[in-house]
Amino acid sequence: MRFLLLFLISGFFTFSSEPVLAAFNCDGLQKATSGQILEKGPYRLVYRTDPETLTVGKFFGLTIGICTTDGSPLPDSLKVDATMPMHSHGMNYRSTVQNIAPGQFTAKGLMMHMAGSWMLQFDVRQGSTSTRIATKLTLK
Amino acid sequence: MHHFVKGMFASLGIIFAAASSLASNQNTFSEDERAAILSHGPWPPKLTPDPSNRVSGNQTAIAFGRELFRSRFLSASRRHSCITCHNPNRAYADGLALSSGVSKVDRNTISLANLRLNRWFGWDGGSDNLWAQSIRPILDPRELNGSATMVAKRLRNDIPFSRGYKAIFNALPTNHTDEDILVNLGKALAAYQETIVTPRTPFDQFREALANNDNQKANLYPLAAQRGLKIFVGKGKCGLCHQGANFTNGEFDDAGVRYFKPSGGIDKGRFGGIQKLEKSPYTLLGRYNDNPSKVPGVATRHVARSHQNWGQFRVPSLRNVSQTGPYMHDGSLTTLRDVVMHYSSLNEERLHLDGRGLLRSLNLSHQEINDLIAFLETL
Ligand code: HEC
Ligand code: HEC
Ligand SMILES: [Cu+2]
Repeated sequence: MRFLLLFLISGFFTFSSEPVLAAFNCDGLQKATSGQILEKGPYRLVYRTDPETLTVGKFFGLTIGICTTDGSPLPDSLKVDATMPMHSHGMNYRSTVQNIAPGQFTAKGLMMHMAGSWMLQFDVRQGSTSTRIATKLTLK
Repeated sequence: MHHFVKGMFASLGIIFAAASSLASNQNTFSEDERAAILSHGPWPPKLTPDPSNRVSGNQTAIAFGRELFRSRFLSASRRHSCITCHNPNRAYADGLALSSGVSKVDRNTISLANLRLNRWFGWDGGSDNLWAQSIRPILDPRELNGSATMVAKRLRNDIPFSRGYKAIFNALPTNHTDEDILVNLGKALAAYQETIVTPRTPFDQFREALANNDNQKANLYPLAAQRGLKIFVGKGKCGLCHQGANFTNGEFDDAGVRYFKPSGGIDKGRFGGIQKLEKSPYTLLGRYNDNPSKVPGVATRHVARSHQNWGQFRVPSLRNVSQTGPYMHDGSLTTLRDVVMHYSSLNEERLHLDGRGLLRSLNLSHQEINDLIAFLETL
């Protein structure tokens, strides 16, 4: 909840103080979270799940913020997927991602149908390059 | 004196034996195993009405649906009914390997129970809701061989059924289109079928005793079943797919069963099921979903058809499983022993790539096979 609040505040500052196209404020993003920050290449990604606790067999969504640490352009698009590498299978559903504001995305329609280790994958696309940012989740 | 001492030793012996068997029962399960076991409950589940069906939970609709389910009026020849294949005395199945109505069907009849817990219906998940799944057999030429026109005409000409219909849907069938009548009958059939819920079982009692740390009650559960349960949540990995209180994750997988149809050709399994959904006017995304915001449609909106869906079938619930043989989508395994033997010596080459790493031949011993069966019989 506190996370959500900080997230909104950081979003608010970003949009009120700068033109819409300005890079997503990385300082704000970093302060906004504890532990759900992922970094790769120029990107810092923070995500929040809805609902907060993930359950086997229950659909969930994500709110995602992405910023760049070196001033390079924000991503044009994002894909979100999840796989179970140990069982070599993915989800039975394809999530839909919406770009709601520069550097801000929502994903819907994710569902993990088994207990165990999953990889949550974000494929961040900017121009013709795609960067995969992944994190491990364990579902009980 | 002599006798007394002997007797005392004997009874001490009994006490020791009892104590040690108690101890071995108590300490059988690790923390992980215990958590896995508790995840298969509680039972019965809390059920809520289906938001896509405005007569779900409506007592008049339930009674009317029950009549329809038993009536031959939905079959073209008036010779068959839902009960032909879903016999209440056979756990709402038919005991046959392959079901048969007007003619043979390529699949095993699914036992009807706990249907409010399903996300998908049919072995291939070709329906995303219970009312659509209830319309399917009316239209299938091999099952009841009817049509919307036929059903509507019969309903309009049948005074008691017409009245029953009006009491639920607020209009006589003469004022509704054929298609609307068909869907409404599906919804009344659904309201009835939702009331079929399996009772609590020895497993549920054991689970509850475990949750309450009540060893005395837990010990009433047969030791063989306890050992079988340990395999189920442990090396058998059964609980990964047969997950939760209903012993299914509600999804689709390849359990290494052949997918050649007995009549020839290939059963496309889940791949064909998603194709059916894409074409059906009766899904949660269509106009017959009574919930204006189409809320329960999230799965249908996001389901993705892919190559791995070939040869996948819905993971069946294992509740009541000792009553629902023959088993598998094609009824190819007759007894629970056959099923356990199947998992014990899987044809690994037959499995899809995605099944590997999860399903492996278990090579169970004779006793392990018996234990797993003893466990399944307590569900
Ligand atoms: C000829 C035999 C037959 C008749 C008659 C029949 N069914 Fe079925 N039923 C089946 C078979 C076979 C399946 C599995 C279908 C599949 O997966 O393709 C099934 C599946 C179902 C399911 C899905 C259950 C689940 O868990 O997914 C429901 C619900 C159902 N039938 C309801 C009905 C109703 C209602 C009627 C009467 C209007 C009816 N059936 C008549 C054979 C029959
Ligand atoms: C990879 C997921 C998966 C695992 C793991 C798994 N099952 Fe299954 N099970 C299925 C699927 C899918 C079916 C239906 C297959 C078909 O009809 O083609 C099935 C069918 C069954 C059936 C038949 C039920 C019926 O009504 O027809 C039984 C019994 C069963 N499994 C028991 C077990 C046991 C015991 C284990 C562990 C040894 C196990 N399963 C492990 C997916 C799984
Ligand atoms: Cu898996």
